[in-house]
Amino acid sequence: MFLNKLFLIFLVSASASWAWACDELVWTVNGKGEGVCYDEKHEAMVSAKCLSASCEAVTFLEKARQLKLSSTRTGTVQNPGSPYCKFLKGTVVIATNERGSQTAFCKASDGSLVELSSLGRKPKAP
Amino acid sequence: MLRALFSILLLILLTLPAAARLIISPVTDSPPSCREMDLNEDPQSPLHKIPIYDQDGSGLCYAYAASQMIDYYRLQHGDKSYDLTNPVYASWATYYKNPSYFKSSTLDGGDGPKVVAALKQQGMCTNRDVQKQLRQLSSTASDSEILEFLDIVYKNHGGWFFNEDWETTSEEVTKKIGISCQQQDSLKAVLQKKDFFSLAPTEVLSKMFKDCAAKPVNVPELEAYSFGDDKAMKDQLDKALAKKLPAQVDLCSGFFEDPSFRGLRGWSPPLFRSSNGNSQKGCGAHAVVVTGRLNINGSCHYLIRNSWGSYWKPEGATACACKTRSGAYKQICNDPKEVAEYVGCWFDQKTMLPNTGGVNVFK
Repeated sequence: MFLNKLFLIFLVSASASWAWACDELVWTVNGKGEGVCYDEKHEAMVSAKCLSASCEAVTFLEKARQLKLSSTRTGTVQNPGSPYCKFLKGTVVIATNERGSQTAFCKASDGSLVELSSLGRKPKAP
Repeated sequence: MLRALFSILLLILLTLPAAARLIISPVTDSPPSCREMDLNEDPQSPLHKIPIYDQDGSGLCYAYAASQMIDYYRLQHGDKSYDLTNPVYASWATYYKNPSYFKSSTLDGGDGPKVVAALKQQGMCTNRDVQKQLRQLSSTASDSEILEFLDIVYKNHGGWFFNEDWETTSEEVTKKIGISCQQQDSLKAVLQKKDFFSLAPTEVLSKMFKDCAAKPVNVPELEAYSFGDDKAMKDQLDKALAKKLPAQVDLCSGFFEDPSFRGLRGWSPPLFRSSNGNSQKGCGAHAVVVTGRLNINGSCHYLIRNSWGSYWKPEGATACACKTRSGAYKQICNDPKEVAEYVGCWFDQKTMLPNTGGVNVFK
């Protein structure tokens, strides 16, 4: 009986922490700080707000993973996520962190962000 | 039943970290040709002071790679004459300011050793001053975004291809670069106000950088090795790492995503490896910096530091190295939740060397 209760407590706390635990990383996009988190379900960095509510960036990820767009290797080489972001009518933005490092995100019309290269990446088989 | 389930769950949770370590693990007892050498390991390494760049869609990979090579050498030798080498300035100083390698309008595509030679000759404007100038055009767009914007505006409104239709230009900008219509309008207004609109990007940069006081660049020249077989390429990489220096590598980038990709025809020796004739269609010519070597699961790997942003983690890499959220460097980062930024990815030499067109190392 005691073990059953313990197991239930474990399950509840584990699922709660999965849903809410997000140690935000702040990236500056167009002069504004944006919190991003790792979304385990979609294996990608997305806007922190996408973990607690629906957002377009996650829809982008889901749609991108159903698509197969060829990445052009001629001329200027580009981020493999770029064709997906453009296809989904998102905008590629370059963000900067406190160390001065840069990274590209795909920005959706609702303002939510998804890390650009993750759009071109297929999730690992379970 | 519930008790059994709980025990299984507990067992999985306890063994998961150990299992993850077993999947990708460095081999400590390696032959001399693959002994561990990672320039990121030292907490005082210059690499920790150089940001991870994102060149976006600009064709300035050569300048990003060369700038990082220069900064590594300078910081390693305690040179504080200026802060960081700005890749946009470096490409402009090499291919426009310098008559030896003159290009008239675009700075896309270039050669790392030429960048180092040109900056040694002409000096470098501090990154702070470059930023001050570029931020006059846009306070929010990145350096490479500004350059791409200037490229498109020039293509549509300058030279022989004069076109007054701003909407077409704006559509092209929106398609190619991630700057909003509002940013575009503001950039356009600044360019018009300064009388820079429709000028070649190189000309705009000349006007922006004209008063910048150049600081000396005290680094050795970069020597290019582009002949020989794969082993000759590996020898140069190993020689640089043995001297605790990175190497700049010109390669076909297709193997980043597909390990079976071969971008070079393999005609050398004695042919020039990175010649057009030796590259397959779709090679994806690119320049990166190699900062380490490690034996992973019995196979020799090199650590590629790219200029495609802090979350670059391609499918073809065996593993990636990162800076954790606590600021520590970690050679193999399996848990994305602990990653603050990736600082490079490990590629098997069997995949990388046949795609390597040339290796550039400090003399």
